[in-house]
Amino acid sequence: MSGTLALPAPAQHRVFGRRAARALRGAAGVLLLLVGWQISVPLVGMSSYFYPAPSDVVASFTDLVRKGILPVYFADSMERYFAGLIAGALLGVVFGVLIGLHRTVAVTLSPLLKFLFAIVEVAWIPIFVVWFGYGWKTIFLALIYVVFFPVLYNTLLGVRTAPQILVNALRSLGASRWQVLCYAILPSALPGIITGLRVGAGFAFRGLVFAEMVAAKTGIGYLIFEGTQTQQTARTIVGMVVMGLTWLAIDLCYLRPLERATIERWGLTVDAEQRT
Amino acid sequence: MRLRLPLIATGVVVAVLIAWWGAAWLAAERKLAPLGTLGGDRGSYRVTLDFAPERFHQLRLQEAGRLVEVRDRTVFMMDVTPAALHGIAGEYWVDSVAKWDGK
Amino acid sequence: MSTRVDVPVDAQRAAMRPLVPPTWLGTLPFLLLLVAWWLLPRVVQYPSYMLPPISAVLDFAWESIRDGTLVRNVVASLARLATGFVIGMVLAIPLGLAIALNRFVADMFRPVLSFLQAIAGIAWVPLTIIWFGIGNGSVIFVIANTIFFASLYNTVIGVQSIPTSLYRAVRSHGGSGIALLTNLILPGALVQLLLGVRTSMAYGWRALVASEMIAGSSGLGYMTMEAVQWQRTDVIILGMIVIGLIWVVMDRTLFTVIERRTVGRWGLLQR
Repeated sequence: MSGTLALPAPAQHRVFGRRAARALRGAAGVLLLLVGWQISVPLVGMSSYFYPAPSDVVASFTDLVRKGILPVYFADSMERYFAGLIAGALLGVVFGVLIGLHRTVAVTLSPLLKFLFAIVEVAWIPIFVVWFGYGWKTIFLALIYVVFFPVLYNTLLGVRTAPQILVNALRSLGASRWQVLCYAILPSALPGIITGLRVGAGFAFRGLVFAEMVAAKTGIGYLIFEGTQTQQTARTIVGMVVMGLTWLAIDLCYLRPLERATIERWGLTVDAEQRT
Repeated sequence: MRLRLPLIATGVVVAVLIAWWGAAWLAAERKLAPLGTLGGDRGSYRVTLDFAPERFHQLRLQEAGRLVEVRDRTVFMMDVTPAALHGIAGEYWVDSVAKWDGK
Repeated sequence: MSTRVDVPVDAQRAAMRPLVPPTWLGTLPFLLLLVAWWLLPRVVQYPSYMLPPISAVLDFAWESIRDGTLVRNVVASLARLATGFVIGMVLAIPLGLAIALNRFVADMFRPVLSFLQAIAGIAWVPLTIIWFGIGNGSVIFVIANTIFFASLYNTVIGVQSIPTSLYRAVRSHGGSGIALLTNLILPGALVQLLLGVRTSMAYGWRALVASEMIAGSSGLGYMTMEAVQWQRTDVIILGMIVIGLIWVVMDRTLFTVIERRTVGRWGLLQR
């Protein structure tokens, strides 16, 4: 990058030394935060109910694992999350394709769908609780709801903007409607679908935690809520840490690779982080 | 292939789940061995944990049978089928299981 | 190409002419839903608390508008949203600039901030209840928290995506230091912030409703969740409709207007 600039731009080349240095600095940042937190506890001088120390959190973590609580809560949360995510995404794609292929249907349903999505999934939880009670059904439906719309919209967009040239070419070669769908429309819609999935996954993750706080008896969201209810605030922090790490893991292991795989292949969008 | 990471992650998750269930099954066999063969009908048992049971554990145990009493680290249960007992014994926070005569 | 909608000479040619569906079709689903809602209690038997008749919802709407409670709740919610939004942004921009401009600081705080962003918002509600109790403090904190991290991220991205040619342009005009900051960096960050307003508000709005449901003492979220206790589904449904309407209004007025006037005008948005 230019040496005359006082302001560094993000580096694009992957020199190993640079990456190691950045990782070290990142680790130092984390360490700094933890040490600062630990030191601040006696300074703040409040009980661990109000202001638990990192040491309390670690002790709580070991306690929760030893007692078998954390693995079960984590597994329950993940079960609900992925079930809702996959179901919502499938429904979104199916309806997106159906609606996208028929202009009249799209025009008819658009305003209603827009309005329904404006009623955020969080606002549906109370009525779901009245209809389906507390438990996994409510959470599952709320997650499907919040994933459905972004995937639907993006699928719709992708289907509608499929290059007509491709469709015509396939048709002129004698392809059936199904083949046109599979070989022209879906592949061009795919990057959009994945973007919709990423958006929905983000909303769904936070929606999951909220739904579990309100309508569940197990799960990470419930753990976060229960900790403060039972004067074990350290458990709440454990829940929050697990939540954060889990999201980073999901993003790194599933969402980003999927996005990169589809977008890089078709070169259709630029990831904001890659802009110089 | 760019989808390597998601596949590896899923593989790891599946492997962990299988190992977990396998270990639980083995642990259940080990803990239930001193009880000998169990009949097909429901029985009463003393389930001892490594610590005082919390609400979480009571809820879990209630899925298997009727909780009669909780004393210290031991939970007394009735109406537990052998299958349910096997499930409980598999939990790693259960220390031991013993027959209970009902008082 | 002829635009006359004559009686076609050739039927096949007519079939190939594209039909533009009329826009009033969009109202049909709403009408159908309303009809279905009106018909349902007359056709199927179910406990009335599950789905109140339209009249009940309308009655409650009228009541709560008349005695001012609905307006008060809406205003309370929007006020908290605005407060949290401002606090979050004001705190995020300087920190974001500091991070974006200094490579060392950026590297140090990136993992921590990514992690904190992952838990931004609703996860803090139980803690805020302990710290601030039920009420405004908790709700505003959660909203500010959400907006803070979203704005932080947007600020950093905004600064980092300023093209180097613009830096050179400013410098070749003799600008440096403060001039660079005010003429180039701040606007660059602001552009990305404006672009990201819709997304940050999407999370902020959810944070508002969610935290009001758990930790609020007034507002739309509180009103909707409170009604579950009394099984007043008419209140719940009205709350949902109002929540939806407000978001639609915000979307139409705020976000699209902002986008059109700033980024659309300056040509940075690719639609």
